[in-house]
Amino acid sequence: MSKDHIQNKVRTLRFFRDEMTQLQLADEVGVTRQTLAAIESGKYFPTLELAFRIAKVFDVTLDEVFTYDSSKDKYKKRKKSK
Amino acid sequence: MSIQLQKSIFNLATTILSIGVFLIYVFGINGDINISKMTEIQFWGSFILTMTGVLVVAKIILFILFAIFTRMVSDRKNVEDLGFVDERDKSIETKSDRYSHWIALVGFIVSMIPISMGYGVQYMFITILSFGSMATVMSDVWRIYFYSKEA
Repeated sequence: MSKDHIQNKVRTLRFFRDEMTQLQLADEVGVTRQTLAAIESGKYFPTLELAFRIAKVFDVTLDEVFTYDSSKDKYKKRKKSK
Repeated sequence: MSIQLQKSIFNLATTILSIGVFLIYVFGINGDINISKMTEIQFWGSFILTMTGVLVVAKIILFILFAIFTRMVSDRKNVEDLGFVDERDKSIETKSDRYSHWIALVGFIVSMIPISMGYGVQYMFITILSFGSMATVMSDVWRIYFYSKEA
């Protein structure tokens, strides 16, 4: 399953925050460095809670960290019951 | 290699080792097991209880040794908390446990086949134990796979 409908700017935000390391950010939001690396590379999607924590560290809104492209999102809509 | 991956590989190795050593001890070194004894439900009951106890104690001791070893070889400043689990670890644990539970469930159903065909009770227990051990091993294998895939 392709997961390119959700992108993130964590790497860029870290860069502008005085080259904050992955370990520093991971410690700040309460995860391991490996989890943060997986989020940055788009291999793991964080929970909403963790996403908010990341946004709070950079003092930005959630959509400035994570972007969602609905045209690339392939999902089945539930049929409405009559 | 991350500490989670190291832990999974260590778990896999110790599971195989503990089960292997216990089976060698029961059926090899202490091998006064004969066919008539294997058909007794009492033998299998005590076998499973002893095996569970021995494996739990062995795992605890080996994990303590692993923690000491990791602390010794790691840089003092970079010692990672072995007990720390984040949301991704929990998600990987849930996924691998779910798959291994399926193996255990299939094992239980398969174990009913020899019973329904009129074979001895030992075949049922051997099937359950084989699938149970396989489920434990596969749980660690999937953990290693998910940690490597999502690294």
